[in-house]
Amino acid sequence: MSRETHVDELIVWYALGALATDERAQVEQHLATCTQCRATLAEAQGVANMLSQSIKPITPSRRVKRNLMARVDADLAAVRPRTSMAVRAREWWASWGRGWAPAVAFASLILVLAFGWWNFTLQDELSRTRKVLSEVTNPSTLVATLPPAVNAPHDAQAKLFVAADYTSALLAVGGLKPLGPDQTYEFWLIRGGQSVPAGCFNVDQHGNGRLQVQSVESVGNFDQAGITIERGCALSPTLSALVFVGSIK
Amino acid sequence: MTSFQSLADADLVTRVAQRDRAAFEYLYDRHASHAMGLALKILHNEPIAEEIVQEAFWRVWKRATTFDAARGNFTTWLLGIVHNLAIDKLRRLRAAPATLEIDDIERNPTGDIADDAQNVVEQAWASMQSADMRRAMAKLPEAQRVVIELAFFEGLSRQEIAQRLDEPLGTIHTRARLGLMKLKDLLSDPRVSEQ
Repeated sequence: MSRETHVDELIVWYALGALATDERAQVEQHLATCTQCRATLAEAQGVANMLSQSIKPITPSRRVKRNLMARVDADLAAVRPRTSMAVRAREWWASWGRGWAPAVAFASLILVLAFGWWNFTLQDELSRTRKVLSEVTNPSTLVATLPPAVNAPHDAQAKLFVAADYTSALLAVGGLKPLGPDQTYEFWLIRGGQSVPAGCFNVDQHGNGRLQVQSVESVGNFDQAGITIERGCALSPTLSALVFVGSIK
Repeated sequence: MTSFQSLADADLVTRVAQRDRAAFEYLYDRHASHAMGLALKILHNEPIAEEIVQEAFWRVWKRATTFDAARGNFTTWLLGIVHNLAIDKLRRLRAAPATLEIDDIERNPTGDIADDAQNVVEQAWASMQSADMRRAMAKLPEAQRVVIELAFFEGLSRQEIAQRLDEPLGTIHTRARLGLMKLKDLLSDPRVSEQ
């Protein structure tokens, strides 16, 4: 049996998605160079695709959409600050070029240092973004939506992503008002009416922000969480400035 | 506010590639029930099927830029992702059978009725195709239909199918090949659509 004939035999099973990984790779390698087999596959796959579409639709629970859109919101929130940071870095770089052109030798040294800083900062940002994404994309991650309080803007949202083992948590917010330099949003973990500060953050011009929750205790030991607006990170919350508060169980 | 109702799937995916949250949400509303139907058909377990649906749409969100309308429509692309994820999951669960709870439920079937959020023309076309395929499958000789279902919906390899049906591998291969050819003929036969 020739190799071509053997691959041809596998194409039916490839179209049905019933090949082992090594066999699948073998077929794909062959398809890259064989027009005739690609045509055979297209025909078989056309029928196989219709098998998928022959199934009666079933509506998934609302939870699926809620969790999915929370991941999307967190993704949007995570990527925007990185983009704006890259833009700021480019603008900063351009201003260096204009302002210090005459001092070439000195500027070169500074530029090398600046590039090192820029690269380090971007790498750090990238690393943090990767961590954020790995948390929110893990299917076992628990997602809690914090209900808006009276001070929240109309379309404000806050989601808390908690790792299944409760060792880490990420807060993602959207639709919040950017604060002035003398104010900050503060996140609180609450247990039996006692609030524990868990980190401060601000939002970008789009109202999006995120916070890696800072807690020495497991997030699983708390039953509620809240967000307030404070003048600097505080040790107890200003209850009149509550933006979100609700259960995280 | 943008109205998405008149937009074709390919246009919506283009917007999703530009990180348009609302377009993505609309695309989900339009296709989630088809994705769920397929995932549940393969996995027979509602929570796991929902996990697959969420993961499939997440991939649509992350990989919308790779969608190529010239290679097939969005439904084919999406259901291909769902099928691959569901079969992979099923194989992993088979390897750890204690975690698999067979729960053959079909909750809240929406049938072929289009809801308000769906593009009526596309939905009607998809429904006709679904009905045609179901009729064609029913007309297939049982031996061929069983092989195709075991491969496509249960993710069994040809060797596993041969073992389960206690038939030679060559026979299984012939049934799969003839079954697909017969399905293709039945689907192109106008009498199947008219029944």
